[in-house]
Amino acid sequence: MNDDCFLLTRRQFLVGLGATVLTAACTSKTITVFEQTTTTAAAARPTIPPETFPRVDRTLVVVELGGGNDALSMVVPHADARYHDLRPSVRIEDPIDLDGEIGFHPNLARLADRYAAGTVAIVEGVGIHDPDLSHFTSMRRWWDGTDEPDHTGWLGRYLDGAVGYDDLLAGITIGPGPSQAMLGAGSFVVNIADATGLAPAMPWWIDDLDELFAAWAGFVPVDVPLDELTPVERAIRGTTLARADLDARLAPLRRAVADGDTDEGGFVADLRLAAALVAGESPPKAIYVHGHGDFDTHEDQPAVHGRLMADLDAGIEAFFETLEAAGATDRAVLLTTSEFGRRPEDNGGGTDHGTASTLLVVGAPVRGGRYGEPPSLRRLDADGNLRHTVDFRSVYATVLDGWLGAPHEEILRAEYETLPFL
Amino acid sequence: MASVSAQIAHVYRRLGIGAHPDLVADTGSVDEAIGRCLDLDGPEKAPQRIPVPRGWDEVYEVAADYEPIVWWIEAMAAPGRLVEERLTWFWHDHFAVSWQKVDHPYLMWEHLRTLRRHATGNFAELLEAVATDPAMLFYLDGADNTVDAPNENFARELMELHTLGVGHYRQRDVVEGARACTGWRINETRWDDEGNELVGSFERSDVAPWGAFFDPDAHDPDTKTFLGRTGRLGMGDVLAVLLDHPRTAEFVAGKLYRHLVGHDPDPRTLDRLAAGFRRDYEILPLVEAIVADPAFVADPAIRAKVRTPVEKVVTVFQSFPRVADLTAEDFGWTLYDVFDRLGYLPLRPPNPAGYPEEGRLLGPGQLAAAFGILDLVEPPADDLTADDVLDRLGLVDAGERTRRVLAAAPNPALALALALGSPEFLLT
Repeated sequence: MNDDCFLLTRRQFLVGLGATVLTAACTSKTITVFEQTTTTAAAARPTIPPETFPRVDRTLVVVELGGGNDALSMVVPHADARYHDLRPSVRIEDPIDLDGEIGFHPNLARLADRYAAGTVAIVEGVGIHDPDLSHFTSMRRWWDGTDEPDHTGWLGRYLDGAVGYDDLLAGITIGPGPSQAMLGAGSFVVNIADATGLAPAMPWWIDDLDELFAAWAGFVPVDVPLDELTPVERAIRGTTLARADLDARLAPLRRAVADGDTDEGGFVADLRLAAALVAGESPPKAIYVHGHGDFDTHEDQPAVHGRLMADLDAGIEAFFETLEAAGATDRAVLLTTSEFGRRPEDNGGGTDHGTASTLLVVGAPVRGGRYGEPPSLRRLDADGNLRHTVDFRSVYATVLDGWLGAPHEEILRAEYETLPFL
Repeated sequence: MASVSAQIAHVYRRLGIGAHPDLVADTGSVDEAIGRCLDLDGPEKAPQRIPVPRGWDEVYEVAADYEPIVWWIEAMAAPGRLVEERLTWFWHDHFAVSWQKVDHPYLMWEHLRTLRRHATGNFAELLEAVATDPAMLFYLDGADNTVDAPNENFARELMELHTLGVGHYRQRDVVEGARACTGWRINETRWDDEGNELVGSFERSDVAPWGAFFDPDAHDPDTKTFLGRTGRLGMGDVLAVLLDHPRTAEFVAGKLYRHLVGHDPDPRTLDRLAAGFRRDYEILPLVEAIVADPAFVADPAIRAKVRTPVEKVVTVFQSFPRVADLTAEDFGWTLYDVFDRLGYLPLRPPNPAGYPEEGRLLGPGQLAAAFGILDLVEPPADDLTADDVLDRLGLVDAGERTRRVLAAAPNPALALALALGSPEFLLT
């Protein structure tokens, strides 16, 4: 068998949850490797070439609250009597009032302080059209950011057009694995779980990581550029090239962890890690934090969601505290996402799948306040869910245009109204 | 076309969990490899005895998190009953349930036992067993789904992930299906009026401790309409409607085909497989029909998938001796940590849709962390050659470049590490 015959070519390899039609060029024949299972893929789109968008010295940090965050418990419409009627079992009795109408979950006290300081935008009524209440199709739509999906994600297409393969650490995913939101057609994303970065725990009988990684790079032909390699080859070369640089950037944080200054888990550890990258040399353009906490609170919601809110509050605080200490608050904006909000009427112990949600945008460059329009708790849809008032792409469009300086139409493949929070 | 030895290794990788080097060396043809994978005559691995916890204080004492993982990986690495291991893993991914939320080691062990018992048997029986499995009732909140507080979690995933696939039901079916499935509960310990647990005393004496039972008082007895069928439906009716739905056989057969072959079946093949499967839902005949398709060992199937962390660990254990100087507990936690760092802990799928696959296993973080698997084996002998390493790992068809890189390694330890990072090992 030819050396490279079985390896799929780059543009044709599926990455992500679902599927797309992929073919692999192997000698002269075409092989279907994966096939579409749920949605219709658009015809292959040309990759947005690097240097299409300006390279701003700014970072967007996205924190994905996977499972469907109950927005009505995060930002509580406490003045609306209907809220109390709909939620006898899970209503928040003591929110931190913001303006007489809404209030933060009581475990978001430090975020409330930041809201008072004017650096938190609350975007209400954010959703997707024709929601089907499925975690997995909804997540995919949030990752895609377009109604004409291929296998790329919205931030991946941004990275394609802003850096391409010029900076292998421009996109970092923090969590258990890569996210499809960050997957481009012509850029590289590094995923890390914690401050050890790309330094594996090795047995004593292999003590020279530099030697191992240098030899490992030998699997990839040196004379072929990254964008012409197969996905496996590209992953190997990208990993071997990115490791040492990333290792140096994470060294100070690793020392702090070793010294016992930080022993947190969850959002706190992840967002401290994100902040260390933003505050360091050559910050990434996009950081995607995911895989923490299960926001799918069908049951036992007050306790479970309350803990998640406390963790989120501590995480956001750790992030900005680190940036403030480094004098780097002007470098980053943080955005929360979730595949959907939850049903307004509770189910006796929790809430089932819903639609519109509330997003938070936090950072010194943000114009704090309320944006969007809170959906009515009286005019629900046929399934008893909220009718969204803001397409989620309007939020994406705002951060792309207003923070990353990249025209959103090219990335989202349609024009959306932006909101004035940036 | 791939060589016969490459095809034999491929068959063991796909129908088992890894290409056991002793089996590959001892097999002369593809048909023989398939026959040995499907052979269920060998002895089953003895189940680990787990004491039944008498109360919540004991729930966390009966088994540590690593124990079922070690037991299961050992079963996967053994040279017999290969298809049983392949299918048990497939069903674990399909009917994903996580220790994280269930938070009850005894019930997770029982759940694993349930999956294994039915893995090569009948899908209708498997579906019924899983739907009323206590771990599943905890994981998708079926145990809290009552007439007074219907909970949609299980009914939705039952249709979306276990039987029909998304797009083949409406929200109304989720609501009505949830009502029909109300009333299943778990036999937990009783508590006195002061809130003290009555250790050893369970709510129902006629049901096994922590077992599932149907409580008519918690069931919604009214009429429901579920996927076109109307009546005073219960869980059994819901499962019957789903098993009668042509989409279920198509969805499951298509998924198993993709899992074993690495790409979709052509439409005619899928129709044929689904029609056969729907007749009696026997699982092994479906597997036999899939592997009888010439596409199963054709070149496009070979290394069309990304090797999963479980497949990597099992392959390494089949090929090299486990580290000797660790206690069972230390070894167990080391194994646990390796999977944790790879974001792929058995019995802890990240969500109800199961484990990541394909490109989502090729992130730099996962590629780098996979070298940590070597922490679990003894250092290789000084006289181990690069070709030995490849043969032991079942990489009989490694390419020239890979052989060159391994041959250039200054010592066997590095050659072994490099083999784990080779393109041929990363794919399966």
